Amino acid sequence: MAVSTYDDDPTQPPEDLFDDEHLEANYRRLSEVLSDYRTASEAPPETQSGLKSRIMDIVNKEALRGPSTELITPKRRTYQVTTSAIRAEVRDVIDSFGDLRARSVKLEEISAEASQFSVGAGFTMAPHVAVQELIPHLRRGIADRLHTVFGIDAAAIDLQVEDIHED
Amino acid sequence: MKTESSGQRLCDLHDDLVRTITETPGVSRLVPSYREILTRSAKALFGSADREASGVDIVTRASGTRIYVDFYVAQGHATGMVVDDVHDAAQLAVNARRSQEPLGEAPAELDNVDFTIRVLGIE
Repeated sequence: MAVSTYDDDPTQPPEDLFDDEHLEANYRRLSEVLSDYRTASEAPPETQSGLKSRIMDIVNKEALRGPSTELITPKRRTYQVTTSAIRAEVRDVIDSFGDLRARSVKLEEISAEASQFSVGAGFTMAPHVAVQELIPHLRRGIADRLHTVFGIDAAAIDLQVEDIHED
Repeated sequence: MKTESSGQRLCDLHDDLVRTITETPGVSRLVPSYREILTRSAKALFGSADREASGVDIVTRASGTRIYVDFYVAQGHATGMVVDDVHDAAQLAVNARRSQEPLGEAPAELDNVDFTIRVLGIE
């Protein structure tokens, strides 16, 4: 069975590239950039090979940033924030409770117009922690941080203890 | 068609934007986008000298001009308000450049300008 690789036709992406929505968006943006240079004078093969590897290096670095979340400003303009930045703020709130350590954070958009999201966060806790007493404070802390920094309305915050850690 | 004077106008606008956005309260630092770095890398490989990537990328097309801005927001600032301030400051810079042109001779690339702003994080 023949397997198609990127090198077979450099103008066509690998078949599995579009499994990832973020990579698909990046690929389409890159295509726009490259189309600007198709009419440029033909570069020698070694230059084109160098350009290809440089492009892939840049794409990989961009891919590490991860996807972005669209939010709305007070003046109703849309803008993007890297989703990792939003997750980092949630993790920071959890970690600020000294006996807790943040792990996973998930965001799910409920309403784009209202910047309303559902937040899911997992964490580990020290064995002596009375977690039920902490939960309301944790929820309030996360909701306040997301609203203050990003204008996000955290309509639902689901918290889960994933493990116990030793101090 | 991009003429030499058109290119210089865009360079001047670019410098205005970098300065004005960097000075906007709440902007920690501009960060070159991958698109901007890619464009400059490709140009360099094809022997076309260009300035360093700055974090403000001006793209002109027949349909208008889009300005891409990527930056970090400083701790203690709300991202939405900073983005609004950046947008307003950048629009003022564009308007100022347009008003410097003789009446009726404002370049087409300054007529229809949109901004795409991305916050990369808080620092």
